Amino acid sequence: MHKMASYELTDEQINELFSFCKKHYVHHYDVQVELVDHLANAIEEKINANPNLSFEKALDEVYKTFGYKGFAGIVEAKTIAIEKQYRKLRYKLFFTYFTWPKAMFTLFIFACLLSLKSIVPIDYQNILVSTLFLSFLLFELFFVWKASRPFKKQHQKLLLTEVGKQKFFFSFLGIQIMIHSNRFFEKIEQINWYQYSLCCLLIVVMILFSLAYVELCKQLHAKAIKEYPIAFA
Amino acid sequence: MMMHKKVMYNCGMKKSGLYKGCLEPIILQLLKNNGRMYGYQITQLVKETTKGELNITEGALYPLLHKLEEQGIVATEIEQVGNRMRKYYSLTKQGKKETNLAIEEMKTFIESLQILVHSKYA
Repeated sequence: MHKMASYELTDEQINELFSFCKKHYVHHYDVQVELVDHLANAIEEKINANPNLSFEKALDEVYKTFGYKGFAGIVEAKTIAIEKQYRKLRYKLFFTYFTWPKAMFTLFIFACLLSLKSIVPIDYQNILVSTLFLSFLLFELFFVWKASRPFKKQHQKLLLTEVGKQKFFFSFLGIQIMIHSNRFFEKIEQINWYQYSLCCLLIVVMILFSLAYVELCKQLHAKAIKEYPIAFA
Repeated sequence: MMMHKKVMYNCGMKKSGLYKGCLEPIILQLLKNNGRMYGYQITQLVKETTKGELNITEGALYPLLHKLEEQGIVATEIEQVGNRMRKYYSLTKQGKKETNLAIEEMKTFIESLQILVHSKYA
């Protein structure tokens, strides 16, 4: 049994399908790829079954099968799925800093921050916490710059990288704490070990979240470049 | 088996609510039997196997596939096929275990339905 030569979409028609997706608010290349393949398969089958059917008419018929929501429901569901997937991965990466051997690194940073209180003269201790939070702001900006560097060559929007690398700026939280803690520390003139340890713990947690973020971006970049090399070409 | 056919028949009658909960085990079973598959292939295989009685809509299929990917039940790989790229889905190790559980659950559900439908109190 020989299969008859079947109708296949041309490169130009495939490009038209990408434009069609963009026109219907699918702006991310990774979502477009899957939809274009689906549309193309369905159109080819329709034209093979009825060779008199035009590409445009077939596309129109296929799009109707996506229902009244069109592509919107698919994009929405994919966004939620990616957000959830990478939120989980971010927490997983964060918690690795509390397991051997990374826990040693965590303890080391915490110990270093704690020892600062003994080194800094007592008169300057009220600005110690502010200095630490401000230093963290600089660190965080550095982390964000470092994490975004690999994506500079990306010239196609990917939902995977856009949603996956969403960042929460801990510095803002840190600055808020700094403002309030300074008021508090002024009253008591000197911070005690308990208050200082809590601030150090918070800074350690924020550093670890930033490190986990950098690692997450590395993994996202590796996945994106492997799956969609064309987006980085 | 008879009941199963009846459920499928109703799907053809567009009573999509009846098979909504069964969609996941159906897709998992298809992936288990066929190795890796792409979205359009899944919709067509279901349509062919059920002789057009059951139509999986794109709006139901892709969100489910993306959810399964997020849960680590399916893995994806992208390949260049002709002049376009194609995303294939296959079961992960965890997915294979989940498939057996989902199929068992669906069978139990069908049996319960059978009992209910054939019960003289129904």
